[in-house]
Amino acid sequence: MDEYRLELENRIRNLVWTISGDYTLGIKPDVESFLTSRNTSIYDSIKQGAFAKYLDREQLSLYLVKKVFMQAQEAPLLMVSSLCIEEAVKDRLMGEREGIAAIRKKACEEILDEEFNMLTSSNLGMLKAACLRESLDGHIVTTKQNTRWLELLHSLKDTRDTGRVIRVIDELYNQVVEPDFEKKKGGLDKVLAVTLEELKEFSWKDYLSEEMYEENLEVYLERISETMTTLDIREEKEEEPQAKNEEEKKKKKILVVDEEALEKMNLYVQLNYGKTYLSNREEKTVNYQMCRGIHDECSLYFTEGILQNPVKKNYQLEYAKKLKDKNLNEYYDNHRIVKQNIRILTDMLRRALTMHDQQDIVRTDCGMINPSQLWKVGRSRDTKLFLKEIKQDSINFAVDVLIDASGSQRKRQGKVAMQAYTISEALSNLSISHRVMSFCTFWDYTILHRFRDYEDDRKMNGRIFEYMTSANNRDGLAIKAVGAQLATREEEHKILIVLSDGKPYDVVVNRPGNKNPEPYRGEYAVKDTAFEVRKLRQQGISVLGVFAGEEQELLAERRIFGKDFAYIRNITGFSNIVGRYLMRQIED
Amino acid sequence: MTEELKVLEAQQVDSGLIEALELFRKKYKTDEKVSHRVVKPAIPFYGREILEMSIAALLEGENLLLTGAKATGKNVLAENLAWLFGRPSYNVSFHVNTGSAELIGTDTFRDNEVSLRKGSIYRCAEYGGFGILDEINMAKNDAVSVLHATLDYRRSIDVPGYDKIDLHPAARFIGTMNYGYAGTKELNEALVSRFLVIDMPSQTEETLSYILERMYPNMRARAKEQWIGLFLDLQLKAEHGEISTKALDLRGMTGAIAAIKQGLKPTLAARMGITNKCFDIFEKEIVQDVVMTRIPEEWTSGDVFA
Repeated sequence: MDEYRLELENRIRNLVWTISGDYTLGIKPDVESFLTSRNTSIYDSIKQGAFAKYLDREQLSLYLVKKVFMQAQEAPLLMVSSLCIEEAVKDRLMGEREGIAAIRKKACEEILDEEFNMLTSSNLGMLKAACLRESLDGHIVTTKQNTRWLELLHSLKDTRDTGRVIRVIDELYNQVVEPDFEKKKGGLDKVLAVTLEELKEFSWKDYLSEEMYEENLEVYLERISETMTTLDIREEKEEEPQAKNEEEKKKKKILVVDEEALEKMNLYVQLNYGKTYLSNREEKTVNYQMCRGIHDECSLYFTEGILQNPVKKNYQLEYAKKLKDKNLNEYYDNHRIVKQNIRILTDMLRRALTMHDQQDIVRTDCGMINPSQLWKVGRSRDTKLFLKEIKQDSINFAVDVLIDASGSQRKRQGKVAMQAYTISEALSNLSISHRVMSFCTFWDYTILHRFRDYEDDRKMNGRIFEYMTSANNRDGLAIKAVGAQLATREEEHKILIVLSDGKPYDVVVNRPGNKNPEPYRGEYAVKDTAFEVRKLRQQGISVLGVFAGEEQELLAERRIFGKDFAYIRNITGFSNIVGRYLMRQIED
Repeated sequence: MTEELKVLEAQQVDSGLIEALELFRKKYKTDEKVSHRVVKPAIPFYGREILEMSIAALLEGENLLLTGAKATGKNVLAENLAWLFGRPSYNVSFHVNTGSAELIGTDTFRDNEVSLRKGSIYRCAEYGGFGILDEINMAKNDAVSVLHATLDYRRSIDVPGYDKIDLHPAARFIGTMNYGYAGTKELNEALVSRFLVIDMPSQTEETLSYILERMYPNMRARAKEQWIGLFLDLQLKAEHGEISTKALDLRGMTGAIAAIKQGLKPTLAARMGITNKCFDIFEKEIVQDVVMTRIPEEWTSGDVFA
């Protein structure tokens, strides 16, 4: 991960947020232009923030997209709109923030320096140059035509009416860039009459490869194009075969029970989740010990994931790669918050650990003599004339982080990965042994995906972003299996943190000969999971449930985890809550 | 009406409370020996609702716990309350090594004799002072256990080997704590139950304007607006977790403004009072960007002060 670029992106984003005051605004920062023309890029970010604050960003972007749809030239159109937007916001912006005039001046100088030749080569360039000159020294020497256009531009001064900005952009574009646009393709009314359906049918591919244009449009175009054509739909389509497959398997399951089918199933799991890291014998032992009672006929499958141990290059592997990138992208977007969270959590834990390491000296009636108390001899009944050093128990910890990787977590996938990463990084900072695993249940197999093991190097924390969600979740079995392994650790204190949505759900379809046909869901599953949690607590393992699900499932989560349960609405509060819990464990 | 109470009147604090406060002040006179501890705070606290809540609680003999993020004015309020009630104040800053010895007292030799050197809580109890327990959640258990009997209905301090002393009827305790600070811990319930809690609201344009108005009456309106905007920008950033609370430092900002008054260039003052408070280089840049949009490079002291 290129930390420097991430920090730069964050800086640009922050600048836009500062100006707009809206921290939910989505921005794709242009680091390249920041590195080449710093002042221009800073001023552009400021302008973008102001644009979002004073004008209707969506309305304007939509108009631009429609105009491009009507075959307007994209780059000049964006240049015109950039000029118009600036005219509309600049005075208000400079009035509000006194420092901006100086930044603007620097940016104007930079552009004139770098792009003067290019600007003078077209009508629009001349207009832009005139604008820049005007803002630098207040007067302009230009052609009559340019003066007329400038006047049109100036009519936008301080307007908050996005409709008016659109009209002027349209007019200027039609006059300066394509004088025959109106005649050939129609006026503003026709442009605005383009419907979303028509836009959806248009291929935006060519435009998306361009990097020249304004951020807001890029984001908008991307968003439209995403919903229209690319990612989401493609993903759904890609997921379909799997779902279908599962259904088919379920149907088949009722009919086919032979060994061959089971063998096939195992192969299928391998293809989807990577090879296991257990030997045949280990696998059998663990299944024999764990898969009993309610989990009879189930199997546990331990893997390090398809990306680490793939069987062959297949669609699943590609899909896992894509999901990892998606997780990483979400992490990049929230990079600073995650970093802050890691720092806060580390500080909290470090403090608790140091406090715990402190030695207390108390007054007693025996021990090391305390001269300052000797005056009491014969004068007072107080016999505590000695000091005794009380050492705290040494503390050593093992922490297990178990993440629900079932299909229901798909929406929150990136966030959950970030939460696990935060915990893992903070624990690594303090050299506390910990393991991070995820679980999901696919057919009869409960798959436990290990991202890092207790003694692994901190480099392995990055693997948490390989987290991918699919299929069902059999929480009770996963907690039981992970807890049993944690219990064998030699550390004195053991903590299991479970990130889940409180909705155990694994529907085993009845097979002939299946001893345990009951579907694992609802009350039945909640009770079983809660039972496993209590059982671990009885063994002295602290279990914390971190809720990462829909609000209506809160109750179930509470029933499973009882008092040690945390609900975090927002990732920023995450480290505080988990930190406080861990601190309590350290202090008790 | 005294100067202190006029401040309340100006903020339209409930007249019944002001009257009750006046009675309190008349009833409990301050001992000459500690009159130097009745200190006028550097800035008056602004916020009618909070003032009413805290005055009512203290008049009823309750102790107060002020919680809230950094720069919400917890200490300013505590100092103001001691001043409004006309009581000497005793400030105890809690850290890992604050123990019962610092709070109650410890043996010492005086005139060839071992005697008790009174701690701050002891003196507070004796003279009816206002004990300001700063960062109370940093206190170690040893220190906190001492406070239990002092803070509840018993209102007494039992000094082992000495006597049990009862609290002066005018003595009150005001704890402050910041939940999110690294190293702070949750207060135990027994301790919290001995306080009435006020969650301090974040700064607003109005409160900041009031503070700057009071501290620097001859500041230019234009400049004041920018400094207030700067603080609010940073506060919003900290709330969204984009920066830590290091740069969000009202003391630092007022300090910077004071330096401008001495003739320092505003950008340099902002660097000292705000930007340089961050140690993370990238965070510093984010803060610097915000400062840049508010405080022009070319500003001089004359642009800020008339």
